[in-house]
Amino acid sequence: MVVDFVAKAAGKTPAREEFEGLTWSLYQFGKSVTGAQYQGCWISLQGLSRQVAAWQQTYDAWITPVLATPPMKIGSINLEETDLMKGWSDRRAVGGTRTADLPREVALFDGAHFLPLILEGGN
Amino acid sequence: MSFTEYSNYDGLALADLVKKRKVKPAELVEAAIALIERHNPKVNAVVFKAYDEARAKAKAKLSGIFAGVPMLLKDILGAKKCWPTRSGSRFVPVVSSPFDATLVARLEGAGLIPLGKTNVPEFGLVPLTEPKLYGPARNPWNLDHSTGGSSGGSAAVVASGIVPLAHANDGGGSIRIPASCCGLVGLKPTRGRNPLGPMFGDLFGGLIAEHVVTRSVRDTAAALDATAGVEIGDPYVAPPTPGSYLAATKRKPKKLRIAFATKRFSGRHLILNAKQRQKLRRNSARSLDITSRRACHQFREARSAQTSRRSGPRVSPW
Repeated sequence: MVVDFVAKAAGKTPAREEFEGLTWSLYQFGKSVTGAQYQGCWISLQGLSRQVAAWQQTYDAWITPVLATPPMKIGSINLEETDLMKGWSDRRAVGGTRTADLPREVALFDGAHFLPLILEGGN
Repeated sequence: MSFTEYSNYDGLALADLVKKRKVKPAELVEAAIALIERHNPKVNAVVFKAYDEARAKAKAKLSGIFAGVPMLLKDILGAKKCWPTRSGSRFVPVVSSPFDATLVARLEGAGLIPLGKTNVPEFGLVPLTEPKLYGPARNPWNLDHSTGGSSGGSAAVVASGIVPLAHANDGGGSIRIPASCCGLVGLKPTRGRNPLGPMFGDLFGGLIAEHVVTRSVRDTAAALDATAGVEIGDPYVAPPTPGSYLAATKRKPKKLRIAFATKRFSGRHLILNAKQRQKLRRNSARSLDITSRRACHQFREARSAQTSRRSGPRVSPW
């Protein structure tokens, strides 16, 4: 969607050499998805969203590390990688509620991840 | 004001100095520019500079809670009139925006002065910031390591003390991950809380949220006070705000019911070894002043961790 949106606005045709490998692979994969499949994914995602949001009603806040490891070294991931199964996702953001990273001085441990209710005090 | 002093203040503290006429906005802008020129060759976080425009704005009449405070915009969304936004992609041509994004207009309405744009991965697709277009942004705490992404350039400029806050946005962690990597405060606001106009009403079903990365909770709250709210044509709106977010940070929190997870959804441990998990529980119990505990990973009737502003000098590890 993004690539085609930019292409239309810029009057350009997407060409492999103008993209990183991962971006190009995602673009090609996206073109293989039908409108019905795409809409079906959103229905599934929004169903999951309701489950996560319902679970969150039990707590004022949920604390979890943002990352399981320290920041990786630059160059650790090859962005010319075209295997999309090596991708990454985050289901914590699916509920549509606020989430936050706080540094050690104000959190409990490095990179604590607050989800969801500290600042707004309710959904 | 020396560079070191400038970097010790958060955005609200700098704005307070301006308000008390202890420093001029132009001096803050010059301090930020000097720090960009000093640090950017190493951190590679600033990819577009608009110094003359910032200097001119600093001389104009400014108002708002952040009046006179320098900031930087991310190279994804955050459109500013006459500036290019390339989303970190060679495919995106250098084209000047014909308009200001609503979010940018609100940030400037709060008195913030944009100096330029920050590094991002191509289209913000990955949680690190190493685009071919600009080259990798580097973590100010250790230049060999990633800033995280996709708001990695913004996190690097804030962590290195160049500006107290910078624009960021988040779909799958793009505010939170670089904030974590660089030791900052990063809040992804509720879906629909901040505007995406005039270009967009919704991005990826509401997954994309606009905001900032900062060095203090109160800056994050004050920025949200400045930017939150509906704009004409929004496809949906967030629930009503409970008043000022900044005021909320000053109130004593009620007793909170807090959960924390040591495992992923898949069941794998987030904290990798038993010693780390034990330390986490011990530290959490001490910080939260636990009054009752029903399970090793679940607390009830726990007092909130106070989310006060972060203080202390910024680091310049290089």
